[in-house]
Amino acid sequence: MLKVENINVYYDQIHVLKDVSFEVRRGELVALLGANGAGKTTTLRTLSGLIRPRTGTIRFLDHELTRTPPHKIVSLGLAHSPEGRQIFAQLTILENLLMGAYTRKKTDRLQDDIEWIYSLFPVLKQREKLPAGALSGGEQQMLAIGRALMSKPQLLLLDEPSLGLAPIMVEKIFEVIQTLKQNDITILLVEQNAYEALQIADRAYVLETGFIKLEGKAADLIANPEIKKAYLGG
Amino acid sequence: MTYSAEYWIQQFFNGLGLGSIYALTAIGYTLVYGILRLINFAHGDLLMISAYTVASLVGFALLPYPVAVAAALVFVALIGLTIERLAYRPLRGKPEETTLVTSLAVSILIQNLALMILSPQPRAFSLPAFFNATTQIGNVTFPLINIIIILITVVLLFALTLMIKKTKIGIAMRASAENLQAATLMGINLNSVVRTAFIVGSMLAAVAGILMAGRYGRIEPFMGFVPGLKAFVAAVIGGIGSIYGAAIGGLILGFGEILFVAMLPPDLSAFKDIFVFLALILMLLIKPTGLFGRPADRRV
Amino acid sequence: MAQSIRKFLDKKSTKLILLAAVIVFLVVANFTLSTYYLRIINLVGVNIILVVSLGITNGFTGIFSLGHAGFMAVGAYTTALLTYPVQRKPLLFPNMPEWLQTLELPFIVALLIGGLLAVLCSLLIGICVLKLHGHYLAVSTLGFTVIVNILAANLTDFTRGNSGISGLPQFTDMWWVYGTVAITIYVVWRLLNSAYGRAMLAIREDDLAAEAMGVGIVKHKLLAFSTGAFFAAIGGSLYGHLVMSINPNMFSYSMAFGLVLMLVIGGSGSIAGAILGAVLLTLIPELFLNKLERGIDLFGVHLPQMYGLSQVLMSLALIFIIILRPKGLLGK
Repeated sequence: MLKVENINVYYDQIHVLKDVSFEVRRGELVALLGANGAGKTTTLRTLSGLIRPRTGTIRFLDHELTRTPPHKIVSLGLAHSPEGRQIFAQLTILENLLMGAYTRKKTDRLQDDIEWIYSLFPVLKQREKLPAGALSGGEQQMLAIGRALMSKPQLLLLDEPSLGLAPIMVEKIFEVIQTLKQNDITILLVEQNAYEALQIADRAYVLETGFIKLEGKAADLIANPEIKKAYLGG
Repeated sequence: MTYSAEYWIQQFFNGLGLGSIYALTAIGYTLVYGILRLINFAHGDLLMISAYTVASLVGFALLPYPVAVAAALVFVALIGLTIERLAYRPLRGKPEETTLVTSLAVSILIQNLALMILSPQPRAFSLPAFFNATTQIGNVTFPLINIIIILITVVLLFALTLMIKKTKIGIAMRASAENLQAATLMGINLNSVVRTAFIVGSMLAAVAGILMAGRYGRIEPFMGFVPGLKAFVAAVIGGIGSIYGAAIGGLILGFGEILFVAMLPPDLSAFKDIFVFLALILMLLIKPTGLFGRPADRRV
Repeated sequence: MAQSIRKFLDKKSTKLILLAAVIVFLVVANFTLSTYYLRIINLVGVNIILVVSLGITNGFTGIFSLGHAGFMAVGAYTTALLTYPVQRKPLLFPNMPEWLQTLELPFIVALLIGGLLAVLCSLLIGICVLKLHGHYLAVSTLGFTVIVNILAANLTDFTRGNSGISGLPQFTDMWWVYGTVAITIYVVWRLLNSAYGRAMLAIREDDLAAEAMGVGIVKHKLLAFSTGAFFAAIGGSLYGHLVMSINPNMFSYSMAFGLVLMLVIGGSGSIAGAILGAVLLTLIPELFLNKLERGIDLFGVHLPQMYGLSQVLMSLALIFIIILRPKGLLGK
C-alpha cells in the first residue's frame, strides 16, 4: 500500500533522513521506532506532504505523494494524527471531528462514523460541545486519533500517541490501536515506547539518526539483543 | 461645558455608527491576519474603491443604488482576491518583513493608482435621500444614517457568526487560524480558506466604505488610509484573530473618538487621531494579545 | 552576478578608487553643473543619509520601523524654527512664545539640537514599542509618524499647520550634504563592525537566542533605533533647508514607505545596498518619472498628467523585486 524508496529529507542544510526506505502492506500495523531526534516525526511529516524530500519516491496506492499537495494527500486516504496531538483547542470536540471529515464528499454516513468514534472513546461524547482545549492530555490524544479516523483513511499515521500520558492512558490508547487493527485499518505507528509498540505491531523499522538501522518482524525484534539493550531497557 | 441629555444620546448613536464602520473594516484585518499572520495594509483602501465604484455607477452609469452597491461588493471582492493572488500568495511562508513591505507597497500602489485615475479633489457622495432623513423620538432628533449603519452591521455580524459556526468553510477558517499545519492535515486547502477570508473581509469593507461615504458626504482617493489604520488598531485592541474582538474593538474606538471630540474643546478635536495611536501603543504594552485575543503563538 | 559585484566592491583598492572618483565628481559638479542638477545631487546625498541610517534599524537589527519620517519631521521643524531669520519670524509666527521668536541659531547648532530631540523621542517611543515584533512594531512606529504628522498639522502656532513653513534659508549645499554623508557612513560602518553591531545582527536573526547569550536586547535595540533617529533628523533638516520649505505632508506615510522602498530594493543587509537604493531611487524618479507625471511628449505622443505614476511604478518595482529577489539588488 505504501512504498517509500530512498527518500532524503533536509531541514535547510541539515540532512535529516538519509536514503530511507520502508513499506507498509495492507492490513499491517508497522512500527517506526527510534530515539528522540532520530527522524521519526520527520518521516511522517514527509508522508503527509508537509515536507518534501529532495530525492526519493513515495508511492501510496498508485499515487506519487512527492508530487501531491498535502491537502490532496488526505483525500487519497492517508490520515495523520500529529505529534503533540495538535487538536483545535478553540473548536468543540464535535467540530474537531467534523474537521477530520473535511475531505469527505458524501456526508451521509457521517453521523454513524461519529457514533463509532464515540463508542471507542466514550468520554468524547460526554464532552461533545466543550472546547477541545478543556480536555486532558489523554483525552486530547483520543480526539486526535478520532479526528484522523473521520476521514476514513486507508492508512493511518500515528505520531507518538503515548507521549506524555499516564500509564493507564497509555494502555488504553494501545488497546484502541489494537481495536483499529482488528477493524482492518492499516497503521504506521511512530513510537518512543518501543516495548508497547512491538507488542502490537506486525513488523517494525528502527531509525537511528536518519538511517534505517534495523527492520523485521516485531517478534524477532523484541528478541533481538541490540534492540533489547538500546530501547527495551536491557 | 455641559450638554443636554439629548446631545449625549445623539453622540451615543454617533459613536455606535462610527464604531460600526470601524468594526466592519476591522473584521477584514482580523480574518486575514488570523490565518496568514499578515497585516493587509491595502485593506483600508478597499473602503475607497467601494465608495468610488458606487459613486461612478450611480453618477455616470446612472444605475440604481442597489445594483451599484451589489456591483461594488463584487468588484471589491475581486480586487481583494487579486491582491491576494498576486502579492501575497507568492510570499507564503516567507519571513514577516517581506510580507510587511509588500503589504505596504500594495497599499501605496492602490492609493496612487486611484490618484492617477481619479481627481485628488474630494467628490460629493450621497446615498438615496431616505438615508439622510432624520427621525424624532421624544424631543431627540436622530440622523437616520447612524441607525441604518448600526442595523446593517448587526445583520452582517449575525450572518458572519452563522457562517463561521455552521458552515464547513467557516469552521475550517477557525481551524486554520488556530493551527495551520493541523488544518492542512485535515485536508483543508489553505488557498480556499484564504480566498474565503479575503472575500468576506473585502465585502465587509466594501459595505463599510459605502456607509462611511454616506456618513461624511464626500470621498477622496486617500479616504481609506486613516480609517483603515484605525480599524487595524481596533482589531488589535479587540485581539487579533478574534472576530468578536474586532467588532468590539471597532465600537470602542468609534465611541472613544466621538467622546474625545465631544468632551474636549473644539480646537483640540483635531488631535483625536493621536488618541487612537496612543490607545494602540497602550494596549500593546499592557496586553499585546488584545481584549479577546489568544495567547501569542510563535507559528511553527 | 551580485556576488561578483560584491567581491569587486569589497576590495580595498576598489573602495579607494571609487571614493576618489566620487570626490572628484562632486567637486567638479559643484563648479560646473546648473542649480537644477546640483539640487538633484544633493537630494541623492540626503537620501543616502536617510536610507543608510534606516539600514541600522530595519536592515541590521531587524526592527521594522516606519518612524523614520517622523524623526525627519522632528529634525526639519526644529531647525526650521531655530534658524528662521528673526526679522521675519513674528510675521510668520505671531503666536509663538517670545523666547523662540527672538531666537536664531547657527545651522550646525540647530542641526544637533534637532538630532538630539529626535534621539529623545526615539528613546521614549522605543521603550514602549521595541518589545514588539514584525507587523505590530511596524504599525506602532507608523503610529509615531502619524502622530508627528498630526502635531505638525495642528500646532499651528509653531508649525503653521498644513501650509507649512516656507522661505527657509538655504543652508544646505554640497559640503553640508556630503560631509554628513561621509560622517553617517563612517559612523554606521564603525557601529556595524563593533561588538554592538554583531549584537544587532544577532538580534535580527533570532532575538530569543541572542538574549539567551547575554545580549541586552533592549539596550541594543534602543541604540540602533536612536542612532537611526539621530541621522534621520539630520537628514530631515538638510532636506528642509534644501527645498527651502516644509509641510507635514512631506514627512508622512509616503515618505516612510519611500525610504523603506529604497532600502529594500538596494539591499537591506549592507551599507552598499542602502547607498545603491538611495541613488537609484532618487535619480530615476527625479530625472525621469516626475517629468512623466507632469505630462510630456514621448515619441510624438502627448502623455497627460498622471500624478501618482511615480509611486505606482516604484511600488510595482518593489513588489517584483521582493518576489524575485527578496534580499534586494545587492543583498546577501
